[in-house]
Amino acid sequence: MMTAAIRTEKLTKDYGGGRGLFDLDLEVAPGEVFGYLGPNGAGKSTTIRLLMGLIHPTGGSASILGLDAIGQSVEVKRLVGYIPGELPQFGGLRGRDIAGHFGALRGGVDQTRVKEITERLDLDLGLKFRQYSTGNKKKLGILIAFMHRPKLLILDEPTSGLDPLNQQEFFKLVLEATAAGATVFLSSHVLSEVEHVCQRVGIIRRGRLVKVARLEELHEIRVRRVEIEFAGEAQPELFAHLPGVENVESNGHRVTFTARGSFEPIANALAGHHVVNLASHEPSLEEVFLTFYEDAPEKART
Amino acid sequence: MIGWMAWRLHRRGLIGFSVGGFLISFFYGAAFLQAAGTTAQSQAAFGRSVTLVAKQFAFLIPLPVHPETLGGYEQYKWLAGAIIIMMLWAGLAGVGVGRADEDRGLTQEWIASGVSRPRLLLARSAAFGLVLLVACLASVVGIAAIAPLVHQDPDVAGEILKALSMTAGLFAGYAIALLIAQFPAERQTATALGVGALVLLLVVNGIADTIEAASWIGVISPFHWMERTTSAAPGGTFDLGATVGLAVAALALIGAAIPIFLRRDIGSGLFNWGRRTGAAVRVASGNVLLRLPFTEGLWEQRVGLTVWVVSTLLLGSLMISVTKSVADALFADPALAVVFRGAAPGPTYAALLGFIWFGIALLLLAGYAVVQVSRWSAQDQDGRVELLLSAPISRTRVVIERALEFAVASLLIVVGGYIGVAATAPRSGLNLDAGHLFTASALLWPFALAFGGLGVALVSRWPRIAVPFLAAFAVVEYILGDLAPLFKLPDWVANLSVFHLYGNPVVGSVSWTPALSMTLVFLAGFAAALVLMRQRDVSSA
Repeated sequence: MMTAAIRTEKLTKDYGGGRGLFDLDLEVAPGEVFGYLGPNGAGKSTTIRLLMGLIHPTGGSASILGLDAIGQSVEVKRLVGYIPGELPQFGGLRGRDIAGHFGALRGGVDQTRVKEITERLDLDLGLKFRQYSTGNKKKLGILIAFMHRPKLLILDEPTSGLDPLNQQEFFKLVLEATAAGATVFLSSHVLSEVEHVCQRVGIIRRGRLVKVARLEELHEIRVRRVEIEFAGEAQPELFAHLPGVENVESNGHRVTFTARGSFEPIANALAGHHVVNLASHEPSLEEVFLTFYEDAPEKART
Repeated sequence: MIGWMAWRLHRRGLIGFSVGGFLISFFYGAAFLQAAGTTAQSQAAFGRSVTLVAKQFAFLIPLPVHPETLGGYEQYKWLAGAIIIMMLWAGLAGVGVGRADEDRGLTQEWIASGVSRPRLLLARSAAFGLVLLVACLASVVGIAAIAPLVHQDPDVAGEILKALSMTAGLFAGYAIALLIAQFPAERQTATALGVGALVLLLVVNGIADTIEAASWIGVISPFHWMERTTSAAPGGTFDLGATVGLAVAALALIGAAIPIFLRRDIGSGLFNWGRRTGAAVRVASGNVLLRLPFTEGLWEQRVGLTVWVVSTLLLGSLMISVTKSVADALFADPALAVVFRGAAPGPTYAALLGFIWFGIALLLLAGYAVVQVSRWSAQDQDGRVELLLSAPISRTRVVIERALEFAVASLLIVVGGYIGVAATAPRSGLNLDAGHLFTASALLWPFALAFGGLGVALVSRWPRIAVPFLAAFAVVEYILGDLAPLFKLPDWVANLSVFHLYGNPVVGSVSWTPALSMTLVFLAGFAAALVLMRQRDVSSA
């Protein structure tokens, strides 16, 4: 059996007052790019800090590449590259000093790799940290995480603050890392930013994992918005009791409703009626994603 | 709204300096009673001794007026010490309003919400002026509170007028720093120039006070104009013109800062010299000092640490060079000799050197411990420790490297001080025992380590409160060490103060028990830090 890159069992960090992370069961396979999505304050950074052994769980366990995330945290970090949500202040140190410092602590960093990443991201290591813009600070974080070619990349909102061109370059780095055998666990609150690199996503809300799915599955459970224009008066009663149909409304010749699942009952209901126009609007993945953010029962949706 | 926000932003300084001002006045009043005694004769002798000592430092601090009275003594202590610290605070506040708010994004938020730049600067300045007034008046409350307990009757009206003069002078210092902060490209440069200018003005005032031919240059220093008001001492005067002049000068300087603030870019100075241009650097530094966190820490603070070492060296040299003249003057008067033999028993020169230099060195090292802990605390809170721990570094190693960093840095400062005194001693005419001088200097290191050990422990578990806690601990320890002999407290109580524990090893036989005790405090703090760091959650959030 292949060792999971990340495995958590009932992982919990309870800050009290309903804040924290609760009973997280998650497994990320080696070589996978896993998107960890949720709104601000959902528990993404808490999960990542638990995986990095920075904070102690109040329950459950986490393992990274077969090693205990807390008990063997030093060994774990030899294998991991990490970008925190916000890069700390380094004041008057120059980018090259910071890269040199972390490169020396990690070991196994060669200047060719540093040069390659800085050129691709157009990062000037000659500037003092305090002179860096938000985007440049994020680029420095990317350099620190990628420069030693880690087996696992744990990235907390890595694209925030990056312009679209640098985001594309970052995603290329991610894909190259996975092509070389690395696993990537990245968090974001914007699905569209990460959907083209992730194979699976987990959606977290209020400290609980509410959905883990492949991207295609998210599409399959999509809700369509259907609009039908009749030649004569609208006939909403044709659809009111159809399975998966909700929110039926009519206005003059037009009927609109939302439909989930198969389209066949709708097509059958229209048989023999004079339909002038029919439109089915595909929701964006973003809209599907947002349905998991809305208030809903706490239990996980599967 | 902007006024309220501006006031809120100064609340920590307001509370700290108001409480501090009250306590300083209160405890100096208590110390006055113990040191000067209750008879007119002993108080007169005490006043003469204070004047004699002050004359040796006239290049830095003003001469006292009637130091044999509570009002005169408190006024002297304030102008000789506390006012300098408050002036540094005012300078930092000026740079803070001028530039640091921009680094924090506050200025941008206010301007984006429709507040004009002149209004922003005026509101922030008015709020700080009010904060200064409250803090200065708190010192009057401290004197009024202690006066009945020491059977003295200070002139409260005179004290209030003195507080007004101090407020105006400090406000002028704030305005100088605010104006200077508008020019440099970087905030750090602005801080160095703003605070440096105030230190320079302090020295200028000292030169004007001591060299008659150069007395005219004193007019540019706010210290000069503050010293003209002596209303807290009996028979002293309130210089209305000087006080109003300081306030008007402050307003003029703030007014001058406004058009520059309007002209320059936010986040940048009027002059942008020194900004790096040229080809981009694409390789990491190969500096060997960056390979370990503790050497990286030393490298990062190399400029600041050099300033600490050189300042300690120069101050040690300066103090040892004035010790003989101070001692000769003091011990020429039998009444004063009695007072000082009580405070610093032992061979005349050595005892006074221990009193003057090593007392200051202890304060410097305690101050360095607070500064270092403040640095670690900031690193912890803004996520630097989190990033460090994302490398294959254990928490134990973080604590060990912090302890090493502090040990090496404090040792460098101690060595700097020793070089200063050892180099000057042969020419000072003090005829000091070289072995004692070395031992006394060497024992400064375990003293520093004791504070460092406590600081490492505190910051490992409670990074947010470590700095105020250690600073408060240092103040309590100092006051306890200062007052224990005066109040004749039992040894076991006095030895709770690390300052008292250090003693005066430059005279008499050396006891290694204090050194051992201080080293044990360091080791206990270090061990506690190891445990506490392993248990806590590390998170910048």
